[in-house]
Amino acid sequence: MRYVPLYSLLSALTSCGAHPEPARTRPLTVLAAASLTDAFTDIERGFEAAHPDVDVTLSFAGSQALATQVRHGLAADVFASADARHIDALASEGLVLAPRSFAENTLVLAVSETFGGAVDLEHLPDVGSLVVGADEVPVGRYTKTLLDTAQARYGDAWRAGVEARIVSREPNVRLVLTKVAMGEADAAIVYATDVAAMSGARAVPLPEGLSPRSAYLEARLTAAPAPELADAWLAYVASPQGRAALSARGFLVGRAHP
Amino acid sequence: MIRPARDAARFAAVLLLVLLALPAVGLVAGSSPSELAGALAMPSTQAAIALSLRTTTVALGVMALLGLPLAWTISRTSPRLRRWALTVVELPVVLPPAVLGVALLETFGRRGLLGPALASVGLSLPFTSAAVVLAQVLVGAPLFVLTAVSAFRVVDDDAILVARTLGASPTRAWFTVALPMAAPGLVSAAALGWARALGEFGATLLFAGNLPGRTQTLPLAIYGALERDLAQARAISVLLVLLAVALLLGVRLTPLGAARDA
Repeated sequence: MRYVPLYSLLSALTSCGAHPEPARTRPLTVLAAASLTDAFTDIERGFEAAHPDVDVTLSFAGSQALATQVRHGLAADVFASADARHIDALASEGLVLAPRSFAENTLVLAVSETFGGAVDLEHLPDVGSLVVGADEVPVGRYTKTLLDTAQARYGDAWRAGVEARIVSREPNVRLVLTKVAMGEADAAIVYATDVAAMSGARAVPLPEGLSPRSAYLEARLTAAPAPELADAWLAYVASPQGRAALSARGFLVGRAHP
Repeated sequence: MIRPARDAARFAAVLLLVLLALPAVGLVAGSSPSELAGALAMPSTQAAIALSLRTTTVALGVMALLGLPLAWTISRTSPRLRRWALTVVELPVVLPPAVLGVALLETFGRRGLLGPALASVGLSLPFTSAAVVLAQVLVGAPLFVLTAVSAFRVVDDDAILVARTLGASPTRAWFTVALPMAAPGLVSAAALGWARALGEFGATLLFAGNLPGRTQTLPLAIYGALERDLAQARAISVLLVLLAVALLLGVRLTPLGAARDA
């Protein structure tokens, strides 16, 4: 009999947590590239509205850092990568299933509001300081592709001028943009979607034909604890609602993705 | 103590010791000498080692130059003042490094508190090796000063008085009596401050950026390598662990350090 008060106390405690709406009891963990932060946060809201019992956890980091976590057995259900390289490598190791492209991004110049002059890609050597992504991360690789292509158009002196202005090679795209938004650097090369999300910097489009398109791919993890939820998430991202959320954040979803 | 309690306490003590050592053991076990040698031969590793050595040496110099007078003053001041000074000194220790980085930008950045004043004399700190040093001093100096204060508090005031009555100037008495007496603790202070400066990551990344050869220190190189080459990241990590172990052992096994622990 002396246990009765304890039991009643416990049940009173647990009933405190009960809401009129069903509790979110089914966890879904999505690993996503840092540049997807805003779009996936929107999609999470829509997905959870459509699945009232699911609790989505989003984990954002550089694609390679996430791939490393997957290799070390991090329990997650979906991996969304900012480039094909990392997720294809995981697929070939049997750690994820059939990656699918779901959106594309382009690069732009982000120019700090504190920088007075007009600037475009051709006059990039005129800025005082430039921040780019490190060569190891997808945004840095696309930036390198862009500079290589532009070098052919504007010449070697242009490229040398740009390289001389680079003051930092940041390990993820959000850090790149923060440096410009805070006014510490005059300009940066980032994803089009990132400038849309941040105040303190304006976007200057790149000349037609120079900006490389980056593909975003996602896949279910082979060891996903909640495989059916992972598939539901992938389907939601590819649905009209998911595509609208991506498009609203500046991603390109125009083409039908297989 | 009754036996079960003593056994439990022993078990707890060993458990924590193992827990503290285990990550370092795991890291070293996951690597190999050839991997370490390969990573050390990479130019990006060597650039980071050179930069880390250069910046931490300057940082240690700054810590000693400014930290010794502060630590001595704190050790000889009133308890009330000491409490206030120690609170200020301890602040960077308990702040997350990312907070320090943002704080440094808001203070020394172009649009920060002192940014315009610095710009008027042609100085811009962010993205420079000087910014790296500043971040290192900020995290290393508290450890240096706190340890040095303890070291100075064991210095016997009477010994200094004797030196003074024998005709030594205050400065001479300090250098010939106070400094040698505190030396074992000061060696620990330097080792701890330097090691903390060497490991600085968050504030450096935010305040100084990441440019090989200029601001990419060893911890930043590890972070960068994680995106590209796990073997290199692991190798640099092992290097830092070995360095830390050697440093701590060195401080304890040298005559000076042994005197402190005795």
